[in-house]
Amino acid sequence: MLTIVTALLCEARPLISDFNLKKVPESHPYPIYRNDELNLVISGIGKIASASATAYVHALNGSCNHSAWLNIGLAGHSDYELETGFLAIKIIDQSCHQSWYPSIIFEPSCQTGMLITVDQVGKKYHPNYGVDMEASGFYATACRFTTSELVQCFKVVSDNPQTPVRKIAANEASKLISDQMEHISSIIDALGQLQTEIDTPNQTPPFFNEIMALCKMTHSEQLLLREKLKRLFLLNPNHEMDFSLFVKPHQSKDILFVLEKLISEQKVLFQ
Amino acid sequence: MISTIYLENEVRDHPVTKALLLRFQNATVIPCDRYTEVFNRKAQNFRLQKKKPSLILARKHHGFVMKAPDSYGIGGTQNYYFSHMLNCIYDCRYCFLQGMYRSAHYVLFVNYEDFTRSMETILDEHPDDEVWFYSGYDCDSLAFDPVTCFTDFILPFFKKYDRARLEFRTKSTQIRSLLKHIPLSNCVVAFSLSPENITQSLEAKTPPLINRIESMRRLQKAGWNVGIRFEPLIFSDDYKTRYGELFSIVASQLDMSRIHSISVGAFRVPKPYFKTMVRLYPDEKLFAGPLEEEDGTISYQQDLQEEMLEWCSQQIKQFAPACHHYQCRN
Ligand code: SF4
Repeated sequence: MLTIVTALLCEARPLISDFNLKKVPESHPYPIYRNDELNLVISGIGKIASASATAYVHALNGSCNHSAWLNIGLAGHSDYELETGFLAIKIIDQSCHQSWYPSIIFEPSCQTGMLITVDQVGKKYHPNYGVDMEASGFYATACRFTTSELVQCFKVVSDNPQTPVRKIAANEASKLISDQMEHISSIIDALGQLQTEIDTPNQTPPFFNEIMALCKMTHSEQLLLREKLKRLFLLNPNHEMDFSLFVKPHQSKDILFVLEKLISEQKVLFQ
Repeated sequence: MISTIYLENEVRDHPVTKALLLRFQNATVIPCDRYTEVFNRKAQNFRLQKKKPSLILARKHHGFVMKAPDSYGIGGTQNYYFSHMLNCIYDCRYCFLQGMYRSAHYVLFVNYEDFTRSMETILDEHPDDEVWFYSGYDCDSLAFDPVTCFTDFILPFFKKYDRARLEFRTKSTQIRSLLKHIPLSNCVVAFSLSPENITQSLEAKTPPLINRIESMRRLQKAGWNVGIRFEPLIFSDDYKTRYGELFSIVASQLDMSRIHSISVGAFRVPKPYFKTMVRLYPDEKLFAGPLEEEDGTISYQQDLQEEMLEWCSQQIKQFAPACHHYQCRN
């Protein structure tokens, strides 16, 4: 699952429509939209709002080791042209002077750039940096829930020294984001691929349930059973389990002992 | 090959940094205050980062050269190790680095001069001894040498200090720089070798066995001391056949009378690192094998380990009877 966090509905609109996201009917403190693969939450403006909404969605979805997170929004930039989309490679929080360095493990189709998260938007641009109001709060929070390679911030330049900060109409903000859909989709795809790479769903090893049905096992014995079955089938994926080896009355310790013996009988070969 | 460089502000003007930035002109350079802001922070995945590691240029502030554990070494009494780099361009599945670090980025400490200064101090502390300095603990000594040019820096130092001994430990074929230099009698280039099937299954991105042997031949021919490290020994049910084949190739391709030293070593990983390695690669057959824990270390079951070490040692005595031969159990 990937969660997109935007500050405003107007930034989210093109994403909701392109990804065919549906509003979650229950009442939540933040508007949440969803399809089978994506969540989108609208946090409100500012790093605290972004951090809170991120934490809220995490809590709502339950723990998932390798969730992916993408903050999408507008930013000012001292050097980039208007409408440039870029992935953040460094995020500085202006008020606490802390820095984060998102690792981009894929080849991004868009530009990359550094970003300063500020509490109040001013007229000042920082050479070589973009300026936003959410990234630091979002990034620091999302990294508590997943590995940092799966957390990215994508910003679209809405103002620069030539076209300074001004009030941006909702439809203008939506257009700035919708013009970047190709880049956004490719980031989402790339994060999805990385997730698949490290996602080892807690697959139940073969025969786990059948053996569990034989006798009662404590939690730690269940973990051992899982581990032993996993090793057995790693060494020999075609192993045929002979249940007559588990003598009656079935005892968990005996079963684990038999499995350890079976493991030791498997050949270890490297091709 | 390197598309992102994190650069500590403190080393921005160091000559090694300047040379590297010139070399990787197209890389994105991201400034940072300390490399630890990027490297090994929480919530990093070694396996993912290994897909596209970045280069981090940093200054090392202390601990340039460390005393090696008692069991370490090839016969010397004073043994030290050093790491001018953290992490490796290769991806051996048995490598403890993947358990030790959360990051797979390459950290290069560009202040090479502080390493040799530290070595000088250590040499002064042992005025009557030969002192061994082992490179290649946290990285492969030579694999990244075309980029780091570390050998060009370190060899003149060892030329000056006859009493200092240097071991490069490598699986690489990056010997061009060594071949440019006059061979040093106090330097050993030690190649880690495994049977070809182990290289293919467990030593991703490393050069094939035959290329490593070719590099060893060329170094021997040029007059360099070449060592062989059969480490770590990897168990398989056909290990005698596989290692037997490896030993025959080695014996037939290299001038054994001129091999500096041979060592065999067991596969051993501290338990916490091992747990991380299994978490990163839960489907790796190596980790499902006949391993056990003893005193916080994971290794092959004691009997099996002894059997492998003994069998390999016996074979080595036969094909290289005159060669210095060591067993490393730790
Ligand atoms: S060559 Fe050495 S340092 Fe590099 S990955 Fe392999 S074992 Fe680790």
